[in-house]
Amino acid sequence: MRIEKQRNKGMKRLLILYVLLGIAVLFPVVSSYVMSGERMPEWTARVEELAVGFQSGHLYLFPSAQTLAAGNGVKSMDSNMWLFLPGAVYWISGNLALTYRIYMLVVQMGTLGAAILMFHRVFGRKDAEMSRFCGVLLYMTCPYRIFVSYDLADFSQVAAWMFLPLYLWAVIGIVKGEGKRSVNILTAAAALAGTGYASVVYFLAAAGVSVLAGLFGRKLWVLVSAAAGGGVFLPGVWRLVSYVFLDGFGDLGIPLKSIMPEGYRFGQFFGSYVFRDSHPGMGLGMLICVLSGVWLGFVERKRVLGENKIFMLLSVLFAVISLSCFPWDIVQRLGSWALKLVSLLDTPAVFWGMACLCLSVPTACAVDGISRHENRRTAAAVPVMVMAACLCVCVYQCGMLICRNAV
Amino acid sequence: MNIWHRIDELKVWKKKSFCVTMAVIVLMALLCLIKIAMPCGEWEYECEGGPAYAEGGSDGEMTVCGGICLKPGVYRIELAYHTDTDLVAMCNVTDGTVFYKGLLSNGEHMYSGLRRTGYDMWLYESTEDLRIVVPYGGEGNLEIGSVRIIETNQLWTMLLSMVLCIGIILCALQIFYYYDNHFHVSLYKKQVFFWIMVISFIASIPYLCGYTLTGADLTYHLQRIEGVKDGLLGGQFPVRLEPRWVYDHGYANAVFYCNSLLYLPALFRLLGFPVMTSYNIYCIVLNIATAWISYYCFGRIFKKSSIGIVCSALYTLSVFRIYKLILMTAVGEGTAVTFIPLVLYGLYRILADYPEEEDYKSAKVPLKRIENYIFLQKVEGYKSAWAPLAIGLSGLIQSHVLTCEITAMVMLLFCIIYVRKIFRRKVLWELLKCAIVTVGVNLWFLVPFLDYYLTQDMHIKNVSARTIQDRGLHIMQLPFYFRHMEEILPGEENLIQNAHPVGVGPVLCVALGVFLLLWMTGRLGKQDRKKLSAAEKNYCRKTSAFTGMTFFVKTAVFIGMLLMCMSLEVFPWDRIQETNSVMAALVSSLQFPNRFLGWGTGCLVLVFGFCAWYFAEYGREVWFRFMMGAAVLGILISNMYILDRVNGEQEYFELYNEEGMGFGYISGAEYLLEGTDWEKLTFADAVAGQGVEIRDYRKEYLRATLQCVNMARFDSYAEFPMLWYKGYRAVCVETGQKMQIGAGENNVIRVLLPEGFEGTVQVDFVSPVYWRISELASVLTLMALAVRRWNMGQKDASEIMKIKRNRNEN
Repeated sequence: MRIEKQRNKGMKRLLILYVLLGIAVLFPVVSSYVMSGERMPEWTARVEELAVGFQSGHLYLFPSAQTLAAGNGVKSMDSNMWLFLPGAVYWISGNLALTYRIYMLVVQMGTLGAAILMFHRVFGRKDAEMSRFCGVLLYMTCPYRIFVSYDLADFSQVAAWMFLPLYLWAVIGIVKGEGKRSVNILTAAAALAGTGYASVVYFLAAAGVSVLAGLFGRKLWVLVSAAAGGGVFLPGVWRLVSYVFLDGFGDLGIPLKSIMPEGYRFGQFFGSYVFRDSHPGMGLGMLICVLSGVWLGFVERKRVLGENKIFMLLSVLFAVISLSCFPWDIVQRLGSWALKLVSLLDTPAVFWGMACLCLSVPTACAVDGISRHENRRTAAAVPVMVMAACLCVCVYQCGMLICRNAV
Repeated sequence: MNIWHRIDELKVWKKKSFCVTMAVIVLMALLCLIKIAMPCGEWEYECEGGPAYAEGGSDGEMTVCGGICLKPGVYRIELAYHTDTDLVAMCNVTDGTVFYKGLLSNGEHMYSGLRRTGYDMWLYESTEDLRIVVPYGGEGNLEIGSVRIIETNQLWTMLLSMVLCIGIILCALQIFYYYDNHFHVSLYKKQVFFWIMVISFIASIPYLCGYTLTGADLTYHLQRIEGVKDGLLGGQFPVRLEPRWVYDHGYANAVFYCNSLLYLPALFRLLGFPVMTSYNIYCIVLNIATAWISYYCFGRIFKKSSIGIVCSALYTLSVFRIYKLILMTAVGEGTAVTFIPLVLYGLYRILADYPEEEDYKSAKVPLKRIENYIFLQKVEGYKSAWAPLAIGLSGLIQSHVLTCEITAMVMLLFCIIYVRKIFRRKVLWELLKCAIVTVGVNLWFLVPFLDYYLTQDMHIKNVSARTIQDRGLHIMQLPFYFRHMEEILPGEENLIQNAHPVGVGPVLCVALGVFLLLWMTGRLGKQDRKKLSAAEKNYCRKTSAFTGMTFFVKTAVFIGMLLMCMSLEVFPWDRIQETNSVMAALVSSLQFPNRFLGWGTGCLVLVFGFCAWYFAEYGREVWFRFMMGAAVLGILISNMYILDRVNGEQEYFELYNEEGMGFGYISGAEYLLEGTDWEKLTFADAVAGQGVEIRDYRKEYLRATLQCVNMARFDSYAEFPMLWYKGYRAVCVETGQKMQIGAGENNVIRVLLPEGFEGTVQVDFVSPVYWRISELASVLTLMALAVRRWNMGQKDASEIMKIKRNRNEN
């Protein structure tokens, strides 16, 4: 009975923290502004086109060439699927600020929910509340995610950040054998397709990693779910194949270019408050977590990662390919398909976002390890520091954006 | 058993992973060595379509030649040209086929006084379409000739040094891994290493971004590094005159501004690393050194490693250091800041750690105390108290003379306050030893410095008119530092027109406030000794750890506050300057009152450490934690914030070859002879006096040869495009006779040519004999110190063994 009560108390505390977290990441939406950003002209054009389409009875799954020109064709491969909601709101209200706020509200809440699901499954142990919360916290306040949400105003990537945790939740369920297999497979397929309809680059990365994991780990159902996801995302896959291998390249207007100059520089990974060249760092909170992990491994020789090593490896891999010194130019020389595919990425920096996503798991493990430290003060102080750092830097970043980007 | 015996016992070389690592490294090193040993190629290309000409009026880019095939390597590009203007045209290399940053070069500007370019390019990928291009500004005439591409082995020397570095790190990591498994490295040692490296890493983030943040002094210090490199290549050691600086005229910067620590980046340059990489590596090494030195000093003063670590963080990431090293790129002053804690610790050892009755060695140090204070693992004697001070002072002398001036003032103040102790035999003897060693070690720099300063009419002696008071800080600037970039540099908009917005930061001001509160409420006098055992009381008395430290910190507070006042705009610098010519010169040479904050920061970090130590020592656990928490919070939200902001917003550039930045920037031209118009100095040929015909002129580094004939019926002269400094000599190559040499027009070297002279004149720089003697004296001092250290190490080891044996017996 007492244990039950304590658990309920813990759950309530966690719930309150999640609500606070939700509020923190929604600061820019609470204002009556629209956050301007590099991608703003493109999404406003898309939303307007959808609204006009609704009025005339047309449904544009992919934007027209005219609309694509507003964003210089960079995001031509991404569909309008998740913009139907803002399109409808704009059609009904004619208020762009309201449209923006509703879309962001829904996506951010959706992301929070998906992150909670994922981290509760990654850290399935009953006493792993700290890891779960830290994972969600690190994911939600990740500076790169905040950057794409409000600074870049990239509606496609924001939606992808919502679906990826859901996909991971389902895949981990399949691998660990938790929950009903059918539900996991269906969810994985739906989430992967959802990611694809949001951002093709994220779809390719998620599907690629899943196929490799499925093949090397001999997990047939992971492969099946990836294939099913690809199937649901067939219009996008066909568009991609047409772009890469057939003659669909000319219609989309995606500029062919070298992406290496857009990559991260090593030191930029560790930025917290300010960044240059649209390259936000990992943030103070995650930096403290990483240091905690190194501390546990180096000083105390504890193994904190356990079965989550794969996330660490993935984050290192994604971080490496996001660097400006990664030879994407040489990859592009493999053929015209490689040239087009790499150009589609637009920037290797997008992989840093994925690295942060993966890194939030091992870093949460590290905080969990610290919270079990024999020294009670350390065990209490570090998680509090992480929490404070994540929230403060997130609020600071959002605050600066409101000052700078509000229109 | 010492550490080497333990490693030997591990037999790491028999482990498979170690053998594999070593094999891979050796193989790669061998490959590099083979490549280095292979002969280098040289190719000559004629300008496409014959020699190209450009006349004023139209600008554009000329392609000298294209489609050049080259393998990866570091190449020297020599393009023959003739122009009648300076800096209008530029020679560069481009290649659209290699990957991003596969070709690194900034090119070289063209000058009317030069006939050929000579710059390096780094090519990391084979190419078949390298192009030599000349962007032309449209003024004056330009004639382009052939281009010579000379292969060097620098790519392989660079790779070899990288392989060796990585190999050493990997081997060290593996040895550490096995060592830790077998002998269990103490948690304490690992903690210290971890935190100091974290501090160093955070401070080094701006240098890990593949660019160099620009500041007012960056070009100047890069020129210094290049000067050392060129000097070494020219056969000078130690480097006294930078041969290529001031458009190949040679500049006596190294005589006045010691560059011994810049030999490290210069070595990287010689190994083939680009300018920017060498500079960044140097700054990273500087950060690591600062973190370790400050930890060592503050940790030893307070005999508590946690305080040492926090003080190290506060000092290494201090606002002043970030401002100087990153924002202003004042590398000299930034380097000097590294040594301030050593001077502070040295002063503490000599003045406050003074044993009242006997040396530490003879004092019966309670064993329990030894266990508590890990720093006392090695029993130290007061007889070596001079060492940190001597090392610190030597470091300061060899990095920044102005900081030495401030340090001299601070030391004078300490001596005045400790006047009663100064004249005790032991203290005086330690100070004397320190002075002898410091002078001895630095004699090689001090003798040429004083020689030039006292015997030559240098411009630096004539800059007393520059006032500095208006560059002072406003008092509100001292504690706060949460600024935006637009507020960082002085401008008319932010109401601090001439004051650079730097302070000591909030944490140190809080520490000062806490200390003053403790002092004013009389707490520092009521130290509770009741809790201590008799043995501990005896220990305290012997080491005077409590009374001595408190007074020392009180002195540091007084001096720190004074220094902060001196950095303010209300401090009457203008009036001081008006008092006499010596003060005018001294004050003027300071340039910025904020320089006093370097020492101010050092003193206040000491104050912070003392407050934390006081609370820890007297059972005020909550307050101790408050101090530590405040430090961590301050570092996270103030120091790291400004570091991040500077890194995120300050302008940067990517510089690879020295020629890309030019050869002209000499800051305030302080080290020119008075009367030299530096604006008239550019690359030039030798100038013939009346009746003299110059047949050939060549210059390499500081050696120039001139073939000429004096056809006049009187003595005439020839002027070399080299700045005249004491030490140059001219000889007739054919006869070996010395020729009369002196200053000519605009203080360039003038050699007198007797009537009817026909032959070759060689001018080169030769250090005077007494400079050489001073160098020898420095070497002998260093050797004597090394021998002494070796003997002490042997003695210490046997002493520790004795203590351990006694402890085991007890």
